[in-house]
Amino acid sequence: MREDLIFSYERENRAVVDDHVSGQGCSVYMDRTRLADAAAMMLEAGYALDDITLLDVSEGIQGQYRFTHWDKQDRVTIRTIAPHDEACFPSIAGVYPGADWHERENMDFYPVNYEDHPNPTPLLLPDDMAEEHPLEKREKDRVSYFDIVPGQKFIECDSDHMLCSCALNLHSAKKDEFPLRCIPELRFKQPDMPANMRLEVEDGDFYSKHFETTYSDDRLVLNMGPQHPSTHGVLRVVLELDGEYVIRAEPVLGYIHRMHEKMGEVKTFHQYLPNMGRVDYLHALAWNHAYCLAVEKLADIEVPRRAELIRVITNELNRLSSHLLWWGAYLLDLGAFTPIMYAFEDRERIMDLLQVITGSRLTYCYFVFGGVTCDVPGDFAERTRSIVHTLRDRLPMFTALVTENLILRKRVEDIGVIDPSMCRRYGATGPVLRGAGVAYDVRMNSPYSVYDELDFEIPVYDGHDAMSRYMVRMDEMAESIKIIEQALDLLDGADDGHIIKKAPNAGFTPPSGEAYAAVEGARGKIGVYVASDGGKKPYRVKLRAPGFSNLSLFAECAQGTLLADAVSILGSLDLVIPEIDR
Amino acid sequence: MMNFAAIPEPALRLVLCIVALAVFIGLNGLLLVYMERKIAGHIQRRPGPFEVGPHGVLTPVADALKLVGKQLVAPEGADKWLFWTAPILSFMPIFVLFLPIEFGPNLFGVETNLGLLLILAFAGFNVLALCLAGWGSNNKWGLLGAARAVSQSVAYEIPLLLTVLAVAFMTGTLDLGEITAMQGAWPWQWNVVTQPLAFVIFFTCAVAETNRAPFDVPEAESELTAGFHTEYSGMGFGLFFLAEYAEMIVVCSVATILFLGGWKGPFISGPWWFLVKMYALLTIMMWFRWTYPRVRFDQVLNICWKWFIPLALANLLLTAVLVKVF
Repeated sequence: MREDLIFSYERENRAVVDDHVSGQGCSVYMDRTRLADAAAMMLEAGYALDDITLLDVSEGIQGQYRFTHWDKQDRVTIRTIAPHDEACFPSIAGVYPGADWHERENMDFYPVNYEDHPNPTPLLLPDDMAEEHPLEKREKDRVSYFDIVPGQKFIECDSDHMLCSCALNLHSAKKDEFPLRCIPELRFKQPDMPANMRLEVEDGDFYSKHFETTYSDDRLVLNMGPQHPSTHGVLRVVLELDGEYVIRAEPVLGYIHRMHEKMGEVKTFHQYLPNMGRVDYLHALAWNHAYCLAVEKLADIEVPRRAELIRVITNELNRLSSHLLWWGAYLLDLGAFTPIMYAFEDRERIMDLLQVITGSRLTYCYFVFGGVTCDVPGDFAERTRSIVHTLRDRLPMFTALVTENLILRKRVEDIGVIDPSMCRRYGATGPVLRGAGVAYDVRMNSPYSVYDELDFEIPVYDGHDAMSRYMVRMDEMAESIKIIEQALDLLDGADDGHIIKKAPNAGFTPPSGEAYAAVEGARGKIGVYVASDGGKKPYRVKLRAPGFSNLSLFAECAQGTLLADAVSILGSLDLVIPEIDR
Repeated sequence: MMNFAAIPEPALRLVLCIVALAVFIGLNGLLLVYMERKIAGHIQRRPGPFEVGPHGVLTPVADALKLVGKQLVAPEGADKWLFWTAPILSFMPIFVLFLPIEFGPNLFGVETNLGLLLILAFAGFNVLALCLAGWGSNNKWGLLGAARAVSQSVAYEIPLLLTVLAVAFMTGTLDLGEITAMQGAWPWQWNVVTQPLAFVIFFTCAVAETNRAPFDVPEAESELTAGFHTEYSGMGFGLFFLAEYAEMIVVCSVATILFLGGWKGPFISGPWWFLVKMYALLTIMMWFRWTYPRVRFDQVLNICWKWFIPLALANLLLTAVLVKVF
């Protein structure tokens, strides 16, 4: 009967607003055959694709397509379900090219197919694991969708609601039924190409064997990475070169894939906390924050004000250290050796400070549900002030030494043009989006924690090039310093020593439900989706990594550039590979 | 016992010279490694090497020992013959380059009235070595590095020659000794005063010719991993390294002789003035490396073809006219 209910939702194109409950904004249930049309209309309405989450429940596999609007400050989640025996969705990669990777990732993790996917090859898992799907639930472990989201929790939308009407209009326009073909062999099919076009390599792995050169013999196929100085970790990019010009670039991921999402399902809510420090080791506290926010939303936990302020301060300190490292590493990519040493000098001070508070230098696990693990030491405010003052004094020196250098400007200006439409199609966020002239920042657009009390600006440059992204990050450091100083002032007032109401114990069991929390990380929008069936362990955890979406536009952006510029573009995206591979 | 008197004097001089030069190049290699690392350290606000010996002075010795002791590995698909010829080919001409340089009064290897030509001719060998290294390694990064090295070196030789020619027009000779002799001891009597543009172009081209940052595109670490010497280990790499430093010394020596009055200097002229000027230029080259980002490859060539060659040509024409008029 319940199964009928969810399909009846889809037939009726029901929209449900539950922003306060789960942070997901407006949920629209629709039939999967209409997905491609709906995606096209979402794009037209100016929505950017955040991520595609799959949820394995007893009714089938539910696809959740999360969209964000940059100006309207709202989120729309399109939900559609495919029964287990014909788990197949239409691919929306033709509309949102950014969906390509999300769909490939889902094909790795779940036994699903995406019809007409342009390149259905494994993304994060190795190619010999095509038949294994780590996130597929066993029959006995599956729960009903309505055990996670109880029917009475839905808040029906009235048609006056702006979000809802927008979403409803979306698919009432097209009512044609498209029968969905569901052919399991679609997986891993190769694009139809004449055999002589294939690259003939005896050795070489799955990806180099299936990387076809476009049309001529005198092309050089080059593997940049996974061991290469400027891919910052174990990213691999297969390049097709004509001389030094990049004809085609195809990132190959998965070299540091650790299956964090599966770990989320086998650990309790608490045990999963340390994982968050290891997703993006450069801005670990933002991931801490996102996961804690999601679980707090789920279990309806309140956070004392002092803890919120400490969270903001440490988060911004962490953002500073992340941007400093990016600055040094980016200039290293461009061949300047010295700036990274200057950046590390400042970063070291921040890390020393955070080490005192959190106990670790890189992979912090400091936030817990309902607060932070321990209060800051007495001299914290003083030390932090002196650190940010020193940094503020040094920022002009960085500008004089590096930013105004003619050689640097020639290397970054007009390189790697990324316009807002490209960001929308690929779901790019963070400095990449702000460097494209869009003032979208989660801290400002949908404030969490105490960010709405603080006075700061969102630096935006609309040069669309690597220089704009560079400048955005440089200005963001100054803004972070501003935030830290204000929060420190507030912290003096909130000095009741209350950092957590009641520490949840190991038996912590949130009620069933789902929650989505987004925070602004150093690289963009970090999203954590947690679904719980009322057990001790999350039923599903989905991590939306900003770097994943940002990197997915690299192939389009790098096309036709010089090899040296491709390196410059890669650096300007600020990649952290563990975050992308998760 | 051998009768040294039986050996003809020029031959004896040559042998002695080559031995002395080998020592000079070797010691300078160690010194420059130390200097580079110390300068890099101080520019980056850290002490630099500090552990081996007082203030780390023995670090380059340890480095050299490590390089010598390392196994020589050639990649499987490499053309072994070319692969091992390349580092030797890169290092061998260095001795010839040093022969005509006059370090002090009467302190030179071979007296020749075509010293400048000799240096310029043999300096070209290096391009061949880099090309063979990149090609022979059977490595795509190496190949890209070699292609870059060839186009860069060939391009930058032109303005280099043109500026040298401008000095040759003024002095009317290609003999390095005579060029030194025609300049005075005090800075205003040096060629750099009459040929400032030529000096700037020469020095920049020298940086590019020796593949030093910001023009180090053939081995651009962040783009081509290590460019042409990606596959070299141990002394294969060591020879390229030594050759690069030796070439730096050669170009700085030539710049000293052509533009900065050679061994002549205020108060007491002598080899010490030569060394002071040479090391000052070397320090500037290192300063460049640790300050600037890398110029992009097509920009490197653009600077050469669109700026340096026209400027050097104009400078040469002007010099020719002025020499004729006065």
